Amino acid sequence: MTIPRWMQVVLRWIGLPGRAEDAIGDLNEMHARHVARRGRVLGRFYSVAGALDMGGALLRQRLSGGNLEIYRREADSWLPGHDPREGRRWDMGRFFDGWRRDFGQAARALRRAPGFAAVTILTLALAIGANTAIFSVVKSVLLEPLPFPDADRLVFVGGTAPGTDLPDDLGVPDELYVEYGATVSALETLALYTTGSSTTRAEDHIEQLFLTGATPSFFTTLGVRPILGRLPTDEDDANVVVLSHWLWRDWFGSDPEVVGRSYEFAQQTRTVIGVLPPEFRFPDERTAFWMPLQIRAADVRPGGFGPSVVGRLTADADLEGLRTQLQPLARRVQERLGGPASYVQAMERYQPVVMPLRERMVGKVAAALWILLGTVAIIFLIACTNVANLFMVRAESRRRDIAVRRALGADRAGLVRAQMAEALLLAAVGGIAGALIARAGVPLLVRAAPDAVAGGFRSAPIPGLATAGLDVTALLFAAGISVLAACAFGLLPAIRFSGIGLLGSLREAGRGVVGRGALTRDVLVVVQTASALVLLVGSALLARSFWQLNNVDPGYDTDDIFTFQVAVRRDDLRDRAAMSRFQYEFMDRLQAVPGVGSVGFVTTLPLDEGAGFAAVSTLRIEADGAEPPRVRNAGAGGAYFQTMGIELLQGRFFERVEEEEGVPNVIISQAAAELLFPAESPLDQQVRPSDNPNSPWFTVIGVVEDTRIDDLRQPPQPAVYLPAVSASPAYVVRTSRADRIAPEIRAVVREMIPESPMYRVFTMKTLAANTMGSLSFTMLMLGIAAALATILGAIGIYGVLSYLVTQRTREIAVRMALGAQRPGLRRMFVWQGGRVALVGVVVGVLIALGVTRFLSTLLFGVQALDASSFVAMSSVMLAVALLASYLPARRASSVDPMKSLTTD
Amino acid sequence: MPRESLAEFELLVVLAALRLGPDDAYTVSIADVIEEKTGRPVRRANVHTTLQRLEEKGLVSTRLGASRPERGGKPRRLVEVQPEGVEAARATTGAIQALSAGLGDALGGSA
Repeated sequence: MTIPRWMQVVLRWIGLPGRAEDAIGDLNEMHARHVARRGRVLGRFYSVAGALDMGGALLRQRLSGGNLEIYRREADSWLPGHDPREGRRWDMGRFFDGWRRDFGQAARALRRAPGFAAVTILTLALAIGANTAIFSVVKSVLLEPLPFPDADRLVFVGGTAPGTDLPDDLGVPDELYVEYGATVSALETLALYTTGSSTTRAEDHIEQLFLTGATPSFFTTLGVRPILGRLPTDEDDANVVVLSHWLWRDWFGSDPEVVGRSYEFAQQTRTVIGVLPPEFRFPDERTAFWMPLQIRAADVRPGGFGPSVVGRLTADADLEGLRTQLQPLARRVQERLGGPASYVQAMERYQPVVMPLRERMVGKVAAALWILLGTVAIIFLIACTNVANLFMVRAESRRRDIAVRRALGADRAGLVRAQMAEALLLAAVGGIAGALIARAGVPLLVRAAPDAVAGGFRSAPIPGLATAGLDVTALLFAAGISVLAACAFGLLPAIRFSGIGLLGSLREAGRGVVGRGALTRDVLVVVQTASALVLLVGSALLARSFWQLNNVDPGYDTDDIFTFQVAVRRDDLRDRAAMSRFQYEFMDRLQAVPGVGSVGFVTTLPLDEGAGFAAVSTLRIEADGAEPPRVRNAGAGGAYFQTMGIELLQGRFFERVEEEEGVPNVIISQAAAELLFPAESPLDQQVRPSDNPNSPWFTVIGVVEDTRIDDLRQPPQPAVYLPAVSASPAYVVRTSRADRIAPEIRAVVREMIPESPMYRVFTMKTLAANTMGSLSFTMLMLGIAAALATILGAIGIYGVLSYLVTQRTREIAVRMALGAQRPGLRRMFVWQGGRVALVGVVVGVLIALGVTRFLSTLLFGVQALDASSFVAMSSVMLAVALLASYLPARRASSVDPMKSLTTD
Repeated sequence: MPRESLAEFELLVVLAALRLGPDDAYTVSIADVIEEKTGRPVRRANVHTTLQRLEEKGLVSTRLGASRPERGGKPRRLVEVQPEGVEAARATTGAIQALSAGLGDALGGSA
């Protein structure tokens, strides 16, 4: 049993060389004793106290410079009748004695003002908690170095071909990788890798697992060493694999004997040659094993887009230099190798994409996290101004007290210290409460992160998110911002009021004259209103995007559809007809499950795997010699369109026999019909893929509704569907129990095809939610923040005006005595608050105009400068401000002039 | 004539170390003995500092013992009272005895 590691580090750092080890040993021994005697929680508390004490002792030893005699007081303090603990006093002497006294006084003063203390602590706890929680996540995801040696020199290299219909993330084809390896001097080493998933069977497990195929240089580039066995070399063929630590643990019980054994990996028998360490999770933590990919310059054929490259920069190279070196190579390779027209076009427009490896791994979530951090920073600002306001008010009410103290000879530093003691005390309590909130909040935050962010089958998890937790740095961060908060809200009033003029104050204080704090307070209210408005506008924009996206018609239903994939491998299903018969038999069994309406399948599912790309031509396009347009394509079968709710607009659906025999018929989408056959009836027209002149012509037999294929944010694209038979399609099942039916479907699969695991199991609703994942997450967070900010802002305005009313009671009474009407007085006060809030709203709008563009990547169907959102939220803010002003105003108008003029 | 006189807590530490002997005297055991014999709580950090001061003055010497599992693999710093330390303790206790001799009534009957 030992004290925490970080404490040991601190003690070692404080202590003289060779003096800390035995002290740590003493503490460890005492820790065990404390825990045995007092239980885990209380025991730890005692241990921490002991460690602090020991730290003090070590510090004294270091500071004494080998002459501990100067601390002799300690030795003398142990006298009978004199509690030794009385001697436990910071040896910094009187300086700290003064603070002790001040803190004692502050504690007593705050106990007399529980409302003030509670509001302040709550405000600070929320703000500090939110900041610490978000900071913990940001640190874990964005700031902690990647677990590779010299990780800052690692770069991701991909590619894109703007202006073609190819996907944005095109990767690096093999031939280009070879060229990069041969010519680019900015890279010390580089490796090509590609990911996929496949059925794997070992021991008692059979599952669809993620794998990465990578050139052997992959491991040396990333600088990983196996914990067991060896890494692939250039001599290895693809019949060997390296296991991830988790697969080794979960499937093989961490058995070291596994190295050398062979299992069925990715549908082939392959031999395990090594196990990688647990912290190695690249490209992402889903990867179960790695297989070597051998690329030999002599064998590469042009055209295989898809794989990515990871490289290590040389010590003196930078990203810009690398980009410049890569830029001309695609064209050079294409000129040397030739290739089909589509390839030539892609390579002519090919642009290398270079970014730090971390950026690639963290991806889009970085923006959302920075936005969140910015948001909580605004909350923190509002909280501090609020508390500063409360402090100002409190200090103002103590003017007379302070002036008397000054008159009695208190020095200014002492008065500042006394005020700061209150601030620090509140900040400390708020900070501790905030750290507790953060401790509870971080797991909630990680859990609230949508699948798209946290990772599922569809997208890679964010590295570091799962391991995010409150750690020492985050605690230091909490402590740091607590002190910052104390300075922010304590120092200003402390300095202000410690310097107030003696006579003037004593004179003014009795009269209820509004003092000079007015401007400062107004500025604070303006800051609050403005920051709250910025958050309100931001969350309004996100809410509108969310609403728009929710109301997008994707062309298919997202409710009541269950979907999964299964890859069947049976020797008796070799030909198309047999496979088709099996598929129908399988779908019949699925249909027999209670509650299942209809069943169909598709080769690539929208929102999951999307659809393929193909350039298609028609008779007219070929006759005109026009450029054949690119469309999306997929194979469909069973009742796919009916199940998905994709409406038939013309013609008919496929018949079973067309799938079984592969009859060259197609169904096209509305947009494809308009694209390929403008101003003609598309039915019975002919289409064929343009890159194969020997392909037969396909007859259009039906036209269906357009669908959104990759993402709900992208407009529908023209699509062509072929009648399909597939060993591993995505099945779609219409049922009102889509979210609960998985076990029953699984039972059918297990019974019919026990060899084949189900994978990519979703409901369409989940897939739709995933495409909105980072938006809904950010919206939720920003919404909570905006609500919090508005409430805090309202409290701020209310607090200031209430104070003003209290201060001006006498003035109000005089006015009323002279005939002022109550409604007029109310108006006066409401206007007083409203005026300041109005300035805040104007400032807020100006800031929001500048910062909402940071949200633009998340917005959908709404402009970052959307006027209605700005107007609506400004009105809300103003209304809240007026309401907050009205309450004190009503109190002002209910002043009884007789009463208030005769008291005080 | 003793060169060093000991402050009271220093004296207690030296006496405890003498009781325990050079193979068993270290911060924690010394504190335990003092607590046991006097019934007063003792801070380990205070013992630690006092031991180092005594070492600076050459009254005790210390050496690191073997690593011990119950201490998280850390060694003990074992204390041996040097002849100068024994002499200082003898002088201090002697002074106390000399001054308290014959004050049995005033001190409430204790030796």
